[in-house]
Amino acid sequence: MIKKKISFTLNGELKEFEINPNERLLTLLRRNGYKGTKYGCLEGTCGTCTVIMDGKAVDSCIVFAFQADERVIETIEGVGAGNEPHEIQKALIDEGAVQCGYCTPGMVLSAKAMFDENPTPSEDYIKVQMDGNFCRCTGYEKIWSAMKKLSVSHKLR
Amino acid sequence: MKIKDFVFASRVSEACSLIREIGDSSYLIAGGTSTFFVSSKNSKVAIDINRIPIKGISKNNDIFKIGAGTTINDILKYKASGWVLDRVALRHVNQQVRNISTIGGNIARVFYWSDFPVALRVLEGTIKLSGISSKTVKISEAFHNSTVHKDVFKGSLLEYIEIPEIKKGMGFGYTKESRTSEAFSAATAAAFVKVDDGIISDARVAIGAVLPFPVRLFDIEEELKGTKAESLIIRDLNFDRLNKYSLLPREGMSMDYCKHLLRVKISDAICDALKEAMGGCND
Repeated sequence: MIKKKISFTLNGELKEFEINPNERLLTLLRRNGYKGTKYGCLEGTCGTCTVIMDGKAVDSCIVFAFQADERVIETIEGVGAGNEPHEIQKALIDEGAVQCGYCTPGMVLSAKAMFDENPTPSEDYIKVQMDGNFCRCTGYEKIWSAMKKLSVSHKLR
Repeated sequence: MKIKDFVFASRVSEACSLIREIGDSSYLIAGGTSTFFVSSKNSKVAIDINRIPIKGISKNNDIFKIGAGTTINDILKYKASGWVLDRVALRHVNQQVRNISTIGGNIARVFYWSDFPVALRVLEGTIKLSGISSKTVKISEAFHNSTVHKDVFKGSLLEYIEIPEIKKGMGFGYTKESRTSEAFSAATAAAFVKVDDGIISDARVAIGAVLPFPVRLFDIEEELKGTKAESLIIRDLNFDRLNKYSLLPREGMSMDYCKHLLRVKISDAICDALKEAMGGCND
C-alpha cells in the first residue's frame, strides 16, 4: 500500500501527515494523539467522532483522511482547556449535562459549529443542528437546556 | 470499498481527463460518505472533485439550477418560492452527513436508500454531464432504470441539475420511513400533483427503498389524473398494482407489512402534495 503526504490546519497549526489512501480521518487523528475524537459507530450515525472541517461539523469516521488535505480541522483538543473551558463546555457543566462523557467531545464540536454560524439559534434550529449526536446517558434534555441558555445569553449580550 | 490511491481535480476538464486516464478503477468522490457502505472486489483510485466549483443553487426564471457539489445542508438552508428539495434534505441522515454529502453523490450512484432520486423522479427536469461527451439528459430518461442510469453516468461527471419550481396549483409530497432518523430508508415515496379547477390535471408518483432502484408508478398516476383533488381519493386507489413489483422488505419487515407501509407512505405523499396544490387545505 502506498503512503502519501497531506497537510491541513489542525487546531490553528499547519501540519503534515503521512497517510494510507484508505485511512479514515478518525484513525489519522487518533494515531497522532488526538484521542478526544472518539470511536463510535464508524458509520456516520452516533456523532462521537465529530470534528469541525472548514467550519462545519462532520463525522470523521466517514471522511477519508485525504479529504482533509488543505482544509481547516478543529478537534476537541483545540476547544477550551481544563482550567479554562469554552463557554459551551461551561454551559454543559453548569447544566449537569455530562454523565459518562463519551459523547461530549462530539456534542461540544457540533454545538460550536452551530454557534459559530448562528450565535442565537432557536430550539428547533438546535434540534436539527444537533440531530447527529447520540447521548445514551442524559436523555438530551439537559444538553438542549444548556444550548438554549447559551443562545439566550448571546441574545442578551 | 478500498481506496488504493487518490488524486485531486480542481476543474471539470481535469476530472474528465483523470476519469479517462484511470479508467475503470477511477471513483469520483465529493462528500464520499456512501463509499464506506459500498462493497467492491477491486480497490479504486479516488478522484476528489470537491475542489471543482460546481456548488451552489441559483434560480433563473422558473428553473432552479443546483450544482452537483452542493451539500445537502446547503439544500436544506436554501429558501426561495417554489423550492421543495429542503423537505428532502431535512430527512437526510443527520447534520454531520448533510454537511458533507452532496446532491451529485446522492444521484450519480443510486443506492436503494438514496433520497433525492425518488424526489427528482417526480419533479423531473434535466441533468448536465461532462465527460466523453457533454450532454444534457432529462431526469425521466436518466432514471428510467438502473441499466440506463449506469450508462448515462458511466465515465461522466455530473455538473448540475435543473428542476422547475413548484408554482401555485402544484404540490409536492415526500415521505420516508426509517427505523431511526439516521437509518437507511425502509420505504420512500414522493408525489407531484397539478390541480386545475379542483381536478388533478397531472400527477407523478415514485417509490424507493423497497426496490433496488426508484420507480415511477404510472398506473397510479393515471388513476389520479382527472379525479377530484381531495384526500379521500386515496381510499379508491388500486394499491394491488404494487404486487407486480418484486418488493424488498427492509429491517426485518414481512412482505405484508412492507406493502402496508408503502401504501401508507404513498398515500401520505399524495395527500401532502394535494394539500399544497390546494393552498393548504384539501378536505
